[in-house]
Amino acid sequence: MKNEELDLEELPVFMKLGVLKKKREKFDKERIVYSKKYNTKFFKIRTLYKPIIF
Amino acid sequence: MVLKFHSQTPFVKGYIRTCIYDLSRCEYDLIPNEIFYKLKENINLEKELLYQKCDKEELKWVNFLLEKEYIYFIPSLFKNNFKDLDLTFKTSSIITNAVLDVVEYRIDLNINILEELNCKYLAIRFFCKKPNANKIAAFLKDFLENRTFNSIDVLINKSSSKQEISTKEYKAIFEELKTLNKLDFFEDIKEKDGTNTFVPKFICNINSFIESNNHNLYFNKKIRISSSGEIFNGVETNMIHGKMDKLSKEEVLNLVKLSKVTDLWNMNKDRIDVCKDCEFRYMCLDNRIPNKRIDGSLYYKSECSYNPYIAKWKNEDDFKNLFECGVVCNEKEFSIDFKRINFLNKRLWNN
Repeated sequence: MKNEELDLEELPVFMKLGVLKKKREKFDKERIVYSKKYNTKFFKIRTLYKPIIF
Repeated sequence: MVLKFHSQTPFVKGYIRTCIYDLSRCEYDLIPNEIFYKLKENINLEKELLYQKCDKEELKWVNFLLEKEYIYFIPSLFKNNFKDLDLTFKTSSIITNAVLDVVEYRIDLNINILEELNCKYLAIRFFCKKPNANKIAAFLKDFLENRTFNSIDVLINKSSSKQEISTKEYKAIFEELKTLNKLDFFEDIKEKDGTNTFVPKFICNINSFIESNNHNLYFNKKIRISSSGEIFNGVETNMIHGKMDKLSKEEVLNLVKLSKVTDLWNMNKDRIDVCKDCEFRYMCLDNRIPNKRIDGSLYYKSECSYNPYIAKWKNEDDFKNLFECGVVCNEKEFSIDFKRINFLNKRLWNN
């Protein structure tokens, strides 16, 4: 199948490049704010994905 | 354009309905089992053909699922380009999380072993007659120096502690200790007679989903160390597996590989009666201890506040407990009266 035959409008949202780019920009923006606040590039408490005690 | 399921939104079938786990957004949705069957048998089917096959009601559900991005249509050219989610549970830690009991701001144990087991998440429970925020902060500052834990939860016993520690003092503790994740109060667990109703907690994310597919989400890779060094599976268990101060590093390492410790880790919900029929089984955090029957099958003594056979919660009007639905689950047997459940479900849901 050639590219012209693909109906880009009908592609699922996650397959559209523009959406991914937007998400990436948002993520970068948040990361910069976070780094400035804590004066660090990488530091972040990595908490467990489930509570340790019920 | 052909139909596909999104791999990060797995469909988990329950007794009468299916739960869709949106692992990326940490949310979930529910659909009837009939819709799940319909779509499952039509994966990779052309869009037009699927629309022809569905009636009006089914199309409503298809549109709902498309809107929520749980299913999608892609050019048939790409239909083999999407991998299923790898459900293998992998971790570099021998112990991932531990509970440490501290009495009156003192601990005389060698906690380095926990770090050697690559335990990254610690919960410290303080048992103090009169909890003092400054003393706790001083203890933690000293204790956490040069430690490799990713996060620490601090829990303080409830006895009159609320009056002793002000909110300002909590914040002072939080400010100083960057690895501190949570500060909370707890009450001692009272003896349960097994007749209490259990209320579950739901966690929907990709890590918990993968772990609960393979292990018991609550107990897996967890140990509790009491103030005197006794090693338990968790806060809820009473069986002592060894004493920390009497064991060398190698002995502790060998201990956590023994079946008496790991047995509980491997009791996942697929093996436990009633839970295995529940659509929430891979997001349910359950601190009950499963019991073994003579034939090796597993069950819980206390009943859950959700009944998966009629999809009703205890606080809902038409709730019926397991016995009323014709489900028997005790130390001797597990049986389901399918006729009775079908009759009840028709009355409850066929409006």
